[in-house]
Parts: sequence; C-alpha cells; structure tokens
Amino acid sequence: MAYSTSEYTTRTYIPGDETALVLLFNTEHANLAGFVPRTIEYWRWCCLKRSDVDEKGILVMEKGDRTVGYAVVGKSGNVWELCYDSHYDAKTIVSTLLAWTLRYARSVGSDSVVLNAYTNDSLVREVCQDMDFAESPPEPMFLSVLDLPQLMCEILQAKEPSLDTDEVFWFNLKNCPPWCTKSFGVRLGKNGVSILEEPVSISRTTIETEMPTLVALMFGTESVLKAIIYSKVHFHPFWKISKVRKLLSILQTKTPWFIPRADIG
Amino acid sequence: MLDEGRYLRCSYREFRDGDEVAIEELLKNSFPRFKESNLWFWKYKLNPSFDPSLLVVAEKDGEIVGCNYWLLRDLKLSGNAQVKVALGADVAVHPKHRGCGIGTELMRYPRLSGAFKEKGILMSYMFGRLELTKRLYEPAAGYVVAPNCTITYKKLFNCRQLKERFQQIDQAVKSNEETKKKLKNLAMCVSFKLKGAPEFAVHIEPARVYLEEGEAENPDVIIEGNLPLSFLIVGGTIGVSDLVKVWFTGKVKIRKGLVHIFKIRKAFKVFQTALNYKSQITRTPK
Repeated sequence: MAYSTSEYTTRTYIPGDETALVLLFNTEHANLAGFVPRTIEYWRWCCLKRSDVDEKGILVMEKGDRTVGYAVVGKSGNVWELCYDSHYDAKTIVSTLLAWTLRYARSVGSDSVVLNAYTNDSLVREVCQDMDFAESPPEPMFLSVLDLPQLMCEILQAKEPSLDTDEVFWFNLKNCPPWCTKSFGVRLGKNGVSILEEPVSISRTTIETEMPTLVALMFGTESVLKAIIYSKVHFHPFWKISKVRKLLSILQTKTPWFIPRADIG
Repeated sequence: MLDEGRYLRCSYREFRDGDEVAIEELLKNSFPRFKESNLWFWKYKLNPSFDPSLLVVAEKDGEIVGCNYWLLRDLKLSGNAQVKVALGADVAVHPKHRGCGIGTELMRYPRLSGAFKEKGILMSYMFGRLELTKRLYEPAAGYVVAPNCTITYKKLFNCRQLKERFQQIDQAVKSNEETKKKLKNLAMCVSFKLKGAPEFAVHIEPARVYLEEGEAENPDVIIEGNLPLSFLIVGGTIGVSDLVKVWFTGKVKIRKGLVHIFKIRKAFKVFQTALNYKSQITRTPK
C-alpha cells in the first residue's frame, strides 16, 4: 500500500499515547520471541522513565487518528524502541523515524546512534544501509533453565501437541546443575500434558541426555536429527525413535528471537 | 548446597534497606554507564517488578564487595508460550576481590536459595561475553548460548570515543620504554574509511600515537570496511587468521599498502599490551 509522506504526521510524545504504542509494539512483534510483551506499566518504565530518555526523544507518527510508528531515542543515541505498522507504507515510516532519530541524537550531543532490529527485517536493513549505518552482531545472550519440567509443560501446552496415543517419556539428565530435577516424566495424551515426578508402571520411553544438550535442542541451537545421529540423545526402546524425534521437535521453539534495546536494561 | 551462605570468607544475602549507597558506589566503579545520573535508581528502585530477594550482595567484613541483580519479567518464547524469567544484570565485584569466585556464587545464590523457585521463575537469561561461556557461565549457572535473530545498526557522528582511546594508548606508549622500542619499526599512517563512521587516520610514530579526524594526506595504508570489524583491528583483538579471512572475504579492503597488514596487526597488538600493562599498574594496590 503506498501513501504519500504528506498523509503522515509526526509529533513528540504526549501523555496518553501509551495505549496505542503498546498495542502497536505487541501486534508487530507477535511472530517473534525473546522480548518482553509490553504492558503500559512496563513500557513506561523501560522507555518513558528511563533516565536517558526525555519526552522530546519519543517521536510518534500518525496517519489520521491511527498511530503507525514510533521511536524512543535516548540522549546517549540508543534507539530503545523503534516500531512501525507494517500495514502502512513502512519504508516511509521507518525512513522518517530514523531521519528524525539522527537529527535528534545530534541535537542532544550524542556521539552515535545505535539501533537493534530483527535480522530478517529487510526494510529496516535497507533504510539503515541507505543512511550509512554499519551492521554488527548483537551482544551475545545466554540462557539457563531453572525448572525444566515446568518449562517443558508450558511449551507443550502452548503447542497442543497431538501424539497418536497416551505416551510417557521419562527423562534422565546428566550434567545437571544442583537446582534442576535430574529425572522426571512427561505424559502426553488426549487430556493434555502432565509432569510426573515418580516413574510410572505403564510402558514408557526413556530419554537420556545432557542437560545443556536438551536446552540447546529446545531453543533451536542444536538440531534434533543431528543430536540423535551423533548419540547426544540416547533412548530406549529404540523403535520409539519417531516418537522421540516428534517430541523433541515439538519442544523446539523455532520462533526467531528479537531483543529490543529497551529490554536489555 | 549453599555452603552455609559463605564462600571465600564472604557471606551472601539478599538486599535490605540501607544497602543502596554501597551498591550504587560498587556499580559506578564497575560499570561507567552507572555514572549517568539516576541510572541506578531507575533500573532498581523504579522498576515496577523490583524485588529485594532478587538482588544479592556479597559481604566481607561488613562491606559490600559484590552484587548481582535479577529483573523479573515475562518473556515470550513462541506463539502462545510466555514464561516468567529473570534477566541477570550487573554482576559487579570489587576489583580487589575479583577472581575469587564471588561472581560465581552471586549467580548461584538465588538458584540455590529457592528465591527463583518461589517466584515461579522458569528461566534466567543474561548478556555477556562468548569467551566466558565455558569458563564461567556454563559451570556457574548452566548458561548456554541463546538463539538470537537481532542485529545492531550503528552510526558514529564523530571520533570522540576513539580519540580518547588513542589518547590512552599514547599515554601508555609514552610511559613504557619497551613499547617505544617495539614501535620503532612500525611507524606508519593508517587511514580508515569505515561504513557508519567519519573518516580518520591513526598516526603511529615511535614517540607518540594519535588519531586524526578527516582524510590523511599521504597514508601508508588505507583500510575500508564495516565499522565493527575495523574496530576489532583497532582494538587489537582480531587474530592474524581473522584478519586474513576478513580481507579475503572482502569485508575489509586494503586499498594501499597491503604488505603492511601484518605490521598493522603487530602495532595494534603492541597498543593492547601497553594498555593492559598500564591498567595492571594502576590496579595494583599500594
């Protein structure tokens, strides 16, 4: 959809904008993971009340009554949030927001402008390239699982897996930190997902692996097939291979992770 | 187990009222960004989910010598899955007590004390340095590298920070006769034309090193490339093989004076050593 720039208006933040900004952020990031879904309270804290941010450093872009984009820029030159409505002329919105960002950052004496974006956002990439930005990988991120059975349960429930029959998978984990459960079961069936703390007498599939391998599998940094082929995951009976593979694949969160600068803290 | 809350003559406990000044002071000494006014107050006390049980301090003889803070939040994992997590932030240890395992214990404390479990926190995440994964993050707290599809775009308006760095290098070089000797055969002018940054040149002379903003008149070498990669060269943290690799892949172009590539690498390595030496001298308590 093409709209001329003149259809859009820009202004700095006014109290009461929060609802529209939070809605736009959560809608536009619905297909990504790794970020903190915004509430008005959280947005006010991570953007508005940040010691680096002035109300004049928040630019809101509108088309008629609708908020179609915004940028939150700190006096340090950090773009804490930049968000646009992809249903409108996104290139115009992003170009306008970034051009304003550069002007604002210079006016407050910043030495640089730094922005985080989703890697596959070709539009932001194109605009940044046009504006002579350099690209670099983000700060490396690390995660550690504290309650693996519960985390598995949350993921499986969210994905509503459909394995053919009632199935119990019993996990025996090695190289497990002391705060984690080493042995537990996951029961999948028509009545949903449940976690078992004690072994059950019915037939089950036992999966043995190292905790870091399982976490890497769950977060997609390790391939399920490769882990099985290279014996990083052991299981028995062997003929349950397809079910084990299916379970591990369901557990994998394949949604790409995007970390806005505002969430880094 | 928690080793009864004690490790290397330090005791570990949760934050309590009255700790504010000591923690802020510790953070300001560990992370320059905390010198910015009100950053501590905003990040800790203004945070709507601030929880004193998620701010752990290490105490030695009644003095706070370390702290680690966790920000409680909901994180989206995929479509409908959203879980309670803790973002590990600001692991700070007083310079006098670094390397004694205090950071490790700070990271472990809420895991072992049950503070995370009580709050229903299923995961913890943090930002850090890749080279510390196997040495610290994984053995201390079971951290693994997380998937990340984020990219950072950067544009420099001026070379102020780089100039400051080269002033530090210059001071380090001037205060070390050994370094001066090493630089004797490495004199040259390297011009940098980097994407996302203004043009600048680094002048390496036996007696001094300085950065000049703008185009150099007659540089010995011209380096063109992407800002972060070239910064690795400037910082002396890129290896010879990396240097050859980025040159072969075209990420860094050397327009003039290709023969000097190893000379440049050597010079920046000398700078790094000089800086490290100076910081060691500064840190050594009298």
